[in-house]
Amino acid sequence: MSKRLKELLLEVCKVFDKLKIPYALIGGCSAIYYGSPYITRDMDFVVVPESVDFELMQSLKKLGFEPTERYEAVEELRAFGQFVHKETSIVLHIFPEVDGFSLIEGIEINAAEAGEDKIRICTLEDYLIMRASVWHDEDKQKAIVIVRAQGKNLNLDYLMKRAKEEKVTRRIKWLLKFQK
Amino acid sequence: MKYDLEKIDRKIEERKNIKFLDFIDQMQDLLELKNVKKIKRVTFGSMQSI
Repeated sequence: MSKRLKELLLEVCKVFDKLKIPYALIGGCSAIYYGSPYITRDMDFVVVPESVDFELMQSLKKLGFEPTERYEAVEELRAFGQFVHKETSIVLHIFPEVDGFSLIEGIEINAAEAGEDKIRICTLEDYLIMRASVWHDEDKQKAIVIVRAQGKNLNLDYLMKRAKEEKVTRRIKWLLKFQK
Repeated sequence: MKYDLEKIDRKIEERKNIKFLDFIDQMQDLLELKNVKKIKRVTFGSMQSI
């Protein structure tokens, strides 16, 4: 029987922790954490790129993730890592940064308890900032879903501070009109 | 673009009953279903012959 995704996600997070790679789960899986009803085929992470080396790739291979590229220099892996899990076909992306988000001073992260394990997840507000920074129709729809699901739990001070930093204040204000 | 907020809210309500990691696990089953390439369509009454 193939490995369950829940177990797989926790194991990837454990690898980051073991190798002392600061990370945050972003994208569709983070949206699910915040109540999105939509499934995803990707596990997306932002990491601090300087902390990544080939040991990460070896550890991910042990979990069944195969790199889709030939990473010959560590800088290539730090610039963008893409792996496919053989059993589940889940695609793992490791980004040094994405539009609207990177792990720099001042960024808040949620540490979600999962039994004895922890999963570090981008905040609700940063999820919206990322969607607003890309802002295709699909991103607007995904952001509206999270605003409907979590509107009452938004930290508006942090959200507006981040919106200003990323120059997406108008877009965020538009999204907030969908709060229940 | 118009957004079907009623549908979004309904789906969010349904999701509330499923914990984060349980949904991740259920997602696997849904993705595997999506991977099925061949679906045999049958008429009620002929199912014993599948």
